[in-house]
Amino acid sequence: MFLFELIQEAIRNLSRHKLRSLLTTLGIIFGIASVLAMVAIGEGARQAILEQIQELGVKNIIINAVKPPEEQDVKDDEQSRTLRYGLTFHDARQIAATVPAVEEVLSVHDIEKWIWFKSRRLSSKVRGVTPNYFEHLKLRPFMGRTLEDMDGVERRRVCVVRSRLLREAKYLGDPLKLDLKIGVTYFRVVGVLPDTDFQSPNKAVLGIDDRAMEVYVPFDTAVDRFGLESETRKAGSRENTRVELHQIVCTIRSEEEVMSAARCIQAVLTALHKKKDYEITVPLELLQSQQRTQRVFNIVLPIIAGISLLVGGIGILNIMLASITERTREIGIRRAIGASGADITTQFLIETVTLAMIGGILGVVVGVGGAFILQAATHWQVVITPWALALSMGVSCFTGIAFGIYPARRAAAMDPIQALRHS
Amino acid sequence: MIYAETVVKLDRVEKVYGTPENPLTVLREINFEVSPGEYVAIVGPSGAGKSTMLNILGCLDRPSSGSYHLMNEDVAVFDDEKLSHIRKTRLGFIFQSFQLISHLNVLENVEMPLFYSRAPRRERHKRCRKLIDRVGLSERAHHLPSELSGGECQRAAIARALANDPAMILADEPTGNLDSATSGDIMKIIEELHQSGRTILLITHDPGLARAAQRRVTLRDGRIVSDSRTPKEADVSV
Repeated sequence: MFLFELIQEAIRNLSRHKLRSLLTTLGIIFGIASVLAMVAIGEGARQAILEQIQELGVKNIIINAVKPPEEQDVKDDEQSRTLRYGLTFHDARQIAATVPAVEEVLSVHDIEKWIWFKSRRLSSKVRGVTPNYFEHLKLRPFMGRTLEDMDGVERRRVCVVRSRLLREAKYLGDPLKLDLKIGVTYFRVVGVLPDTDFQSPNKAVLGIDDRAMEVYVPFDTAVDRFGLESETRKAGSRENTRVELHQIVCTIRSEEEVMSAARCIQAVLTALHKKKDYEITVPLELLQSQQRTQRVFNIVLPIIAGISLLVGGIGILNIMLASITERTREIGIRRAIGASGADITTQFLIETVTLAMIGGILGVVVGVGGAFILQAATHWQVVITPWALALSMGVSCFTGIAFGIYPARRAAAMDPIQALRHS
Repeated sequence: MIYAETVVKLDRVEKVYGTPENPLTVLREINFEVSPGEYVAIVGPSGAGKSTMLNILGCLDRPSSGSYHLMNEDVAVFDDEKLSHIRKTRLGFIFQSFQLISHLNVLENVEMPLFYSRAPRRERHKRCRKLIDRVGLSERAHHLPSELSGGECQRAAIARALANDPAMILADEPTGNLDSATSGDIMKIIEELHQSGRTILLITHDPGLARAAQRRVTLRDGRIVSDSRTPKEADVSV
């Protein structure tokens, strides 16, 4: 009750000098706001990366074919203009045969053809995949089905699309009755996958940049119909490229074996490839590097928070010292009337803490607002966790106490007689 | 009110300021008693030690030597915390310059001693409303001191001095900042308090004011030079 009235009194006192109080709390406001925004962004990035890793599968190792730099071009012979690079069927077999931890090897072959809906060209990538690809990368259709074994066996011209493709094609009919033209061949849509719309700058890092726009066709259909070679025209000349497999996804028996399996696969591929025309992505490794980043964040953040709160706290200390000098006579009156030193200490401490807490609340408002503005502007995912809010308030309260104790004690230590005479 | 044989009993009180090499004795050999319900004026010229005496009697300061019994308790040895408690529970102050807190209204100023006694808000309101009515400030209860005249401020201060139902009221030049008409009003209120049985210590340099008291103690150079009782006079004007 007494405390409540002291808080009321503190708020009244602070509101007598609104501008001064506001300026005093600026340090705390910006300290809390910046830390909160940083935590929100860090947490957002963390959750985004975790989602993506989950999406890629913690137990998967993904090997992507990479076009080597020009000077390393290795032609079959001088006559042929075919550029060969990337992963091969042999690689896939070799990995399956030599790395015991690998349960399954999923081969992916991309079709480098345009995909059309009527006369509209779509910006999708066409991937030939085996049916278990969907299972291991946790792709579940919300409409129709995924690919099945018989699709490949019968070389069916069917495909599974992302719902974003339907939007881009501006197709409003029944998706399962849609025919898309890949190169010169029509494919019937048999399933639609939900969008995975990552909002994170880490997309490119994870090599899943354009997964959101992928179209999946049966692997055998892709290889049989389109062959392994593709032709690109550039600067008037033709160039043939031969890539057997664009991607190999290895599923590992258990999470513990992922890292060792990755090293084995690395060794196998190094032996088989003269040049570095592949790239191994281990989602689990990304998870670990994310955790390392998080650790750095966990060290740096408190330091930044500490510095800004120190500055804010000194601002408060300064203004409270000025305030007690200004209110010397009031302190004298209160003391003469019977307030004990402890009463005076409590009163000024509560005033400081109230000031700091107001700063904290404003800081939270600014921080949360800033985080969401940043999200709107950059499409980074931000996540405000309750503990971050609680911590902000706790830290502002602590700052108030830490920097309020000295002026409060000084106020209490004043000689009442001198204080009463103070004009 | 608490009853005791004497409210105040000073025994060989001395007050020395300054450094040990260069002491300045302000009060010496003060022996002084006040009985309950007495109205005592302490008079003397400037520099006679009135203020020091008031500070000691008001438990704002401690004597350098000697004992001070307030309601049979030796407060000369009390620490700051205990002295605060004594001021809060047993003493009421009326100052020359009113000493009201400028950003609090009359009611809040009057309530303050009870606030530090942790009295519930409703009880405080009730009691202080009555006191404000008694000093004739009912209409001004929610005004700030800056909106009041000097006399009204002093009345508010009197109400505040009464809030904790003190054993003794210390009035330090209560009319020093007021014109003569208002001074008369204030002295009348103090006289009424005396009539209702309060123990009052009036400190003044003005012998005219002191005449209102039934007993006058004269200080000169830190010593009590006279202590005279006069029969109650009807004339309390300045």
